[in-house]
Amino acid sequence: MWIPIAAVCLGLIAGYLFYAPFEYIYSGYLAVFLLVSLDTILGGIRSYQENTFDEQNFLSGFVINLIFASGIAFLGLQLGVDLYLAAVFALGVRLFRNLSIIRRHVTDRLKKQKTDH
Amino acid sequence: MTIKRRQISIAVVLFVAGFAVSLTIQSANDAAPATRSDTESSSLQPEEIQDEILAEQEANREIAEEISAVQREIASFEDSIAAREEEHYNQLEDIERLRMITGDIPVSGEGVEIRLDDSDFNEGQDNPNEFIVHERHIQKVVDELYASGAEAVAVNGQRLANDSYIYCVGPVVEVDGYTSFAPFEITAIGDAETLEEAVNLGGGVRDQLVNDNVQVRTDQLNETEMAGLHEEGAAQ
Repeated sequence: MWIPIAAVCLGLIAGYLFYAPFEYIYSGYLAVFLLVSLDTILGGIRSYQENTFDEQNFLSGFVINLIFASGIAFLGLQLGVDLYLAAVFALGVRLFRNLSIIRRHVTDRLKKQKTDH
Repeated sequence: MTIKRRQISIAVVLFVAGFAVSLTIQSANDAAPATRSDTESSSLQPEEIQDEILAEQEANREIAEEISAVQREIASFEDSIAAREEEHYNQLEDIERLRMITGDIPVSGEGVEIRLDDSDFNEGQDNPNEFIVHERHIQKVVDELYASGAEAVAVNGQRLANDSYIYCVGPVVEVDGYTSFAPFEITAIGDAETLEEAVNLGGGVRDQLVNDNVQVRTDQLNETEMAGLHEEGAAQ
C-alpha cells in the first residue's frame, strides 16, 4: 500500500525539483500528460473492481496513450492548430465515464453489503 | 512476482501523474502573477497613473511657458506701438503748433487786444515824428506777445505768419503788403492773463511805448477767432 503513495510523493517532489518555466504553448503537452495519467489510474481502478486488471495492459495502455496524445499535441503545435484538445476531449469523456462506472460498482457493492446484513 | 510488477506499473503511472500535477501547479503559479499584472496594466496601475499625471503636468508647463513667451511678445509689441503712438502724438502736436505759427489753420480762444494810437500834438510846434506810432513799436509789441506764448497774432486784422514783415511806409505801416494806419489794433490769442501781464510789465513794452508818446490800451478778449491765412474769408 505504501508504494503508490510513495510514488505519488516522489512524482510531486521530482516535478518540483525539475520544474523549469516553459512557454505557454507547451501547456498542451502538460494537460495531455495529466489527463492520460489520471485516465490510466481511473481505468486501473475500474479494471481492478471488475477483476480484469492486467498490469501489462495497464502499462502499455498508459505508454501508448501518452505517446499518441503527445504526438497529437506535437502535430497540432506544428500545424498551429490546437489538436491536443482532441486528446483532452476524448480522455476527459473517458475519465468521466470511468468515474461513473466506478461509482456504480461502489454503490452496487454497498447495496449488496446492506442486503447481506 | 506478479504483485510486484503490478505495483511497479502502478507506481510508474502514479509517479508520472504526480509529476504532471506538480508541473501543472507550478506553471499555474508562474502564470498567475503574470496574468494578474497583465490585467492590472490594462486597468491602469497607480505608477502608470502617476507617470501619466507627470507627463501631463510637464506638457502643461511647456504650454504655460509658451503662453508667457507669447504674452511677453505681445507686451513688447504693445510697448513699441505705444511709443510710436506717443511719437505720432508729439509729431501731430508739433505740426499743429507749426501750422499755427505759419498761419495755415484758424486759431480761436481767449486773448488780448492792444491798441496803439498816436498822441495828440501841437501842429507846427512839436516834431510829429515823436508822437506817432512807428513800425518798431508794433514790432516790439508783437515780439513781446510771441515771447509770452501767443499762439497767433494779428495787426489790424492781418494775421502774422513766420515770414511776415512789418514795414514803415511814410505815414502808414505795411504788414505783409497790407497797409494800415493808426490806431493799430494788435490782437493775440493765448493765455490772456499772461499776455497782458507781459505787456504791462514794469519797464516793459508798455512803459517803453508810453515813453515814446504812444497811447497804449490793453483789453482781455474772452473768445476771439483768427482765420487761416490761406482760407476763404482770411482778412486782407
